Amino acid sequence: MNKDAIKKTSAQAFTSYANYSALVADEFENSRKSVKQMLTTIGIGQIDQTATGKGVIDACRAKKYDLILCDFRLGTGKNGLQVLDELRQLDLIKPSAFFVIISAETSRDIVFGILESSPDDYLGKPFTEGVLSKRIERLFAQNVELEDIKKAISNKQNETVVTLCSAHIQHEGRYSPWCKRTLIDAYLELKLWEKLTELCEETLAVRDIDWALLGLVRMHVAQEDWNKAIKSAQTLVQKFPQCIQAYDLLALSFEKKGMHTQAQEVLESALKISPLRHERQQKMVDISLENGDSQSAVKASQQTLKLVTNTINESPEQYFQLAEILSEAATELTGSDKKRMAAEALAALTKVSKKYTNDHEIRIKKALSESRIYARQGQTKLRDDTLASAKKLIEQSPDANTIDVRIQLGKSLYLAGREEEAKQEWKELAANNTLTSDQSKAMSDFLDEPIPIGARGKAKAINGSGLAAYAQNDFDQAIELFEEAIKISPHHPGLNMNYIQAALKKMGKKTTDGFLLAECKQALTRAGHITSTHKQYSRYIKLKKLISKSE
Amino acid sequence: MGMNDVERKNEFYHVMDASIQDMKNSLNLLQHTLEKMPTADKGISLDEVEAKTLHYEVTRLQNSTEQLYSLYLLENDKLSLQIKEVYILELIEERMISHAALLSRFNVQVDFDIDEQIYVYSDPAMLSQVLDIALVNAARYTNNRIYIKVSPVENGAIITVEDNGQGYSDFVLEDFSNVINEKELANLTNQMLAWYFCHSIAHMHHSKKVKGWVKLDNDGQLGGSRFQIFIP
Repeated sequence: MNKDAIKKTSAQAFTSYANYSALVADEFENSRKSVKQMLTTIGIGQIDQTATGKGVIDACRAKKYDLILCDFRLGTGKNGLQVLDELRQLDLIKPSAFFVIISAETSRDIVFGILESSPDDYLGKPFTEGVLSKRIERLFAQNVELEDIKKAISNKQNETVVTLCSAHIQHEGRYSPWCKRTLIDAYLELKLWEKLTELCEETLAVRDIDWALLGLVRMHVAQEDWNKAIKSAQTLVQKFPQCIQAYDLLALSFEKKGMHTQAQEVLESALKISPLRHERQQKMVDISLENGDSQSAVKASQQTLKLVTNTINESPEQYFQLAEILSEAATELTGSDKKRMAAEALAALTKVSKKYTNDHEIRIKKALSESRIYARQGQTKLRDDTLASAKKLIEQSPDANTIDVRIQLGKSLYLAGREEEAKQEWKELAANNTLTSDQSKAMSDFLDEPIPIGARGKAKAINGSGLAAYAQNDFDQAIELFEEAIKISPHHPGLNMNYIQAALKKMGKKTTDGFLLAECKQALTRAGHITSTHKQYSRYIKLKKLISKSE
Repeated sequence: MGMNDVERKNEFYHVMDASIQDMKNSLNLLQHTLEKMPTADKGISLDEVEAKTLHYEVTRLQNSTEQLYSLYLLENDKLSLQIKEVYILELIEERMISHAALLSRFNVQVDFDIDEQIYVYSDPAMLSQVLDIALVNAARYTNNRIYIKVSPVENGAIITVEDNGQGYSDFVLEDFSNVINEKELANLTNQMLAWYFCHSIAHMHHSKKVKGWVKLDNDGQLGGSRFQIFIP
């Protein structure tokens, strides 16, 4: 029946595809041969093949292909989607080319990983020559039809995108749904909120559809209307539990509202569905650290490193991050578990120094990090030896004494019991350099709570209970809880000020309690490291004035 | 605290996952080889009956592997359902091309008349699996014709696959109704497992409280069996 049709397609193709070049990537030779033979039959003029991810990158550096057929599994190196991400980041694919991922997988994490990289097409195994031919034919046909719009998108000409997409929809063109989704992107860029709302609501009146709901969520996020963003994203997640962007935006909105526990819960759900994006795993590291959840931070930083290893996104920082988190998490353990985890932290440092052998800055950071690991293990001799060798390395290569190194040095000095030296180092650093907000934050966060992740989490939880008691006007209970939290995290400015506020409330206007007042003064001293750039600074000054008035 | 537990996963999952990937790869190659085999009209003698059986069995094995794996993923809440607009004509064309050689060996004529503009919101890979089951079944039991039709209805579209065979026995139809009512799921035959799969996939489609469904009867225009799936 359809045989004639297939022959016709192949014959047509022969004339139109003869000038095209294709690359076939598959770890199995038989599969490569089979696909190559199909492409030959379809009429593709030039066909190269490779077995590895590195092979694809190298081939794309050497030649600009029109079509890349890449299997998800490519042996032990990079997988298909890491290859695609890398080709995009290195700008090695021309805009008109097609990248098609081939995979026998229908398991959700892999399918999601692939779709989140948005290849031009996704072909499930098994497939026949006819199907491959049809897909290629359609991809090239779609390219012809949408060429102008795609060009406008890549040139960021949003007004043109709006005009062209609207015209296509008006004429009830074949790609109207695609154009509507594209319109939403353009409206967001142009901040045309009314138009966007109109398009989404008009669509939603007819049926439930994820991209229209998502359009509204994205608008609320762009407007920084976090309450509306949370509400709409929750609806979307409930109706379309597999809409992964909804989870990311919901987590972001919770985070912006300071609701970190909820943000972490949402990210956990997102990672269950789609764990293969390193960006999402890294986000999980950040949120877990914020929440003092060391177990989750360890897991997510291990996953992050695993996903970026041997890709363009791999950096020494991911190794240092993992070492630090493992070493802090180890303090919560005992016996052989504790030893094992500290050993894993040291192993991560060995790995990074082997990867970047000639980099002085990394050698210094490694020694500084080792010193902190030993400090947390209570191994004072090793702590001091590694710190000394780090200092020697700094003297030997002053060029490598970067701002980041000096921040690390401060942390290691502090944990080695040389707190004043650490503060002096950072004072000089801040006085003589322009620091990024991340660098300033790293130092002030550390001084606020120079304790391991898990301890931070505990203090945070007790502080939460203290705040609840305070809200109930139970100041005795609040004072007790804040004291308990301060025992774990003595320098935390927020905690100390919460204590002061509860104490002042308890004393009221009538009497001054000499003992409590003295305690308040000590609390001020404990948080005395904060400077005018600290977000709690104005509160600190206010309370300081109040206390001196009470005397 | 057992942080290592995080990395430890169900071992069965890995074994099954790996072996199924292997099976799919082998099947893929086997199918390509079969497609290159000469058919009777080329004059080279190859036992056509043998080839027919071989081809049918490979296709069936392929469908079973797919549905087994998908059901496994579904049960473990790992099935991906990526809903997007699916142009039904494109999908059916692809299914026809996939099965062209088989249908030709079986001497089955397939007719369809589908407006190229009609699309539904579905997962193309899952909907393809459902259509494969319907098509291969129809090919096996038809006399010589299959007819595919798509009817746009309120809130969605119905895809119908029917044939001019003997139709299903009351016995099969009763089993089918038990399966879609999710009664009697124990001791399912492979065929019933296939219908159960179709039912599960249809059911995962919804819009504004309308859910997808599948139906099996002998009420088609060609006098044989009729399979229908509604996608909202």
